[in-house]
Amino acid sequence: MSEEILRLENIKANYGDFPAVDDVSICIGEGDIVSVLGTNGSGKTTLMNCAAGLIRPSGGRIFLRGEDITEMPPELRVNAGLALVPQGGRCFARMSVEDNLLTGSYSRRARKQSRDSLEKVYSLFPVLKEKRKQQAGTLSGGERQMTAIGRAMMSRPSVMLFDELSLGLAPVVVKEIYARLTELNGSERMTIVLIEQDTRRAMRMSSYTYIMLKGRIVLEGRSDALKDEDVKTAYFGI
Amino acid sequence: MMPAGDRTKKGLIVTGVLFMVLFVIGITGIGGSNVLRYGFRILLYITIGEMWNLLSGYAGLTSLGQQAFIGLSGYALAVATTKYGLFYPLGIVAGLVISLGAAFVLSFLLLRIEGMYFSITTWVVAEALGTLFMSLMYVNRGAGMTVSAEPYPRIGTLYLMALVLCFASMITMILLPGSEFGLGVRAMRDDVQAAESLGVNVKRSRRIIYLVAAGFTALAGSLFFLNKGTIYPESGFDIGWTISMVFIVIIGGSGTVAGPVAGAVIYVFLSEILAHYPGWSNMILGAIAILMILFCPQGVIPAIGAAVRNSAKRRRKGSDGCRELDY
Amino acid sequence: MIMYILQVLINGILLGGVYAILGLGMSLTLGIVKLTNLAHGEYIILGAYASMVLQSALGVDPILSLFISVPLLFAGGYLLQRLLVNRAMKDGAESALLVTFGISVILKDALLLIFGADARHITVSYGNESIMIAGLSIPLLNILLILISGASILFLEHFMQKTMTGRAIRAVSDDTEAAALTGINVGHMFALAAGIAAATAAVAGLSAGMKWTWYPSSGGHYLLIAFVIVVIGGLGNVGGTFAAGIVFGLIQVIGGASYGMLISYIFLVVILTLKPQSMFPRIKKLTGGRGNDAGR
Repeated sequence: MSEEILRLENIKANYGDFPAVDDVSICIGEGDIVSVLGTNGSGKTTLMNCAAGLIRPSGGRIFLRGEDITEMPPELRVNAGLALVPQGGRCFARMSVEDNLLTGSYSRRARKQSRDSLEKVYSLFPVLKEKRKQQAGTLSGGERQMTAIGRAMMSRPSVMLFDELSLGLAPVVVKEIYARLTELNGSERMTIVLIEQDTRRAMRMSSYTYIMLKGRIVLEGRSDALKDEDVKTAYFGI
Repeated sequence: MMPAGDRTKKGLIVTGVLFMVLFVIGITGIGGSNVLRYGFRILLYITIGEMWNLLSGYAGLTSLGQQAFIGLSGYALAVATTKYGLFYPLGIVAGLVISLGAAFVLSFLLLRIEGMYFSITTWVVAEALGTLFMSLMYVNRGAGMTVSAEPYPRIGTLYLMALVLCFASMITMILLPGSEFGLGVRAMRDDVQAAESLGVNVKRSRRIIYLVAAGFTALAGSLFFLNKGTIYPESGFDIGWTISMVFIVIIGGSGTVAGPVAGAVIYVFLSEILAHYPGWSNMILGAIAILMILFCPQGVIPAIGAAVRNSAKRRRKGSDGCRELDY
Repeated sequence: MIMYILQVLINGILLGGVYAILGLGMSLTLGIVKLTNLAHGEYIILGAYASMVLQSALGVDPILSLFISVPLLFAGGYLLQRLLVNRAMKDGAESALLVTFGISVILKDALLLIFGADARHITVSYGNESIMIAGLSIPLLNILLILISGASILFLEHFMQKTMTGRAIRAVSDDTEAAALTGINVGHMFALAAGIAAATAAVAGLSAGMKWTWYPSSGGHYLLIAFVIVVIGGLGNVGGTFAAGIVFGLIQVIGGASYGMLISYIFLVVILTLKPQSMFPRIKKLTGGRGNDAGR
């Protein structure tokens, strides 16, 4: 296994009295593609929001390249190289595509390379260059997702987390976006974490898989070594 | 936690005993007229504080324009007694009727507006009334009016009237949250849509609350100006009334019956002390209110309650849940 | 007669510039921070006093005083937002609203204490001059004021559209969480927006102070004007704010001193009641996005 880049250690997070994430540990190696799978309400989104700093966990610690970032606010985590593409992308609907992307390079480290990063995003997603003057709110779902991915790339991250990338998108669009991510992983050695309900596709792409159920990790292992039967049982809890 | 019914009963008993004691003080005049004068002010401030608490703390209707009803009822009293020579209790009734009428009409406009916009618009309405009275010859424009009463009520009488009013408002506040209606109101404060789906008639509940608050506030306003004797547009429709309500509820604690009681006592004595430093008083009140919101948002009464419970048994840590995004 | 009407209308339109700048700051705070700053009126009065003091202390034209009063108000607005209001916003919009209410009360009495209750006015030598255009006599001051207002609005628009910080502020106004996820410090942006709003209040204070007399207690009056203009013009919409300023100016000129304000109050309540939804769908959508966003 390659060198560790992101580690979540015994993370706990509650919504009121309801434990959304209960003592979860995850370790991700540099340049890996890892998938975290689970049904709705299994706690995977909460876990990623903890990693990105949107939610402060009630227990546990988070390390990025060995540095403890548990107390770090989200914007500094971005500067440190961690980027989350939230569910549905959440582009800035009232801003143009290009303004969306440029906003991504707001953090200090990324700002100097903003032109260069923009070219990279446009070469990965040429359709965004075509529509760069268009308001993001008027784009199609797939293009919005691409804008969000591009925006995250603009911050020059070393780890990218994708929350439900495929949600609500046509299969052909999902396939296209996944292909781009594989490309990104190959050319830049980008570490990628896929949070998904679409188990089959995510497992095919990733090298390691975690399966969450009711706030806990119930199964983990190399994606190619996990048996279909076990995955099904763990995923649905039957 | 006591069951709701027991708490209501206990609240009523405490209130009843308190009422008897204060009633005896009023009848006998123990402590002299100064006690009655302070008592009068405190009781009226409790009333308007409770009513703001009802609007904001229970129903989520943060009004910044309750002075509209104080001004209207004060003017109604002055017009009825001076212009038409009516006996002052009729003037008070006139103030109540006019304020309720205005509140009923306004509720159709204001209750359609949500959140901060509701707050500002209530303020705008009060300002508009002040501006209107400023230019209305019928009420002597900016020159103001006097309240005439023959014989003029003595402070003991005023005190007793304020006492009855105040306790009527407190009993309303004690009984309301336990009632089916009150439960609906609280559900509506937390989540309007959920309350609606549970069959709470949000519109009607809000209107009732708004009218109740307007009525009690108007009665308090009449008594204030009955004591004061004169009214001007800028004293009747003064945003200062709302400042005091907000202060009383924030200091005492929002959403509790005892909160505004403590808040009003603190407010009256604090403004008495601060009266020695003219010019500084509102600044200090404002600063205290800001500090309370930032560091003790639940108010003194719940804070003391929590401290007492804490010493009895260590409370579960409140920060267990997820913290939201910080900025 | 027609010439007279025309002249009144033109003056109403020119005054619209002053009203637009009065509303601009509130439009910014409401649009970006999603908060009504009840102290905005006091910021405007503070701006007027600042220009007055600087004019007499430095003996320069009051317009030049903006070079000092704008940064001063910006810093004050930034700090109050960062230190007090942002903290209160975590407890919900209502707490934050009440904090700004407290700030307003404090500022009003501080101004009263420092400057006394006297009516003030910023007087300039060219205050009563007029120029004749096509037989219409137009006060020089009114022309100057609409130029100041227009320049401020254009400058702000350029800043918001073309700079990195402007983009970041717009991003925060669009989606706070997503903005934090792109590396933007949301608290800083809220404070910047509040600072810019206070800076516009410095310009508004100068304009209003040159045009009308004011008292330490005039803040509430200007706050309500600002609110009416925002409601007429729509949120965070610079063009709309400008148009609303002109509509408001015309109402004032037509209604006169005694009924101008009353008419605009009624206008406001009617607009808010008739279309309580249509004005704020954007806010609803943004704050309803995820979890309990009441304070954003």
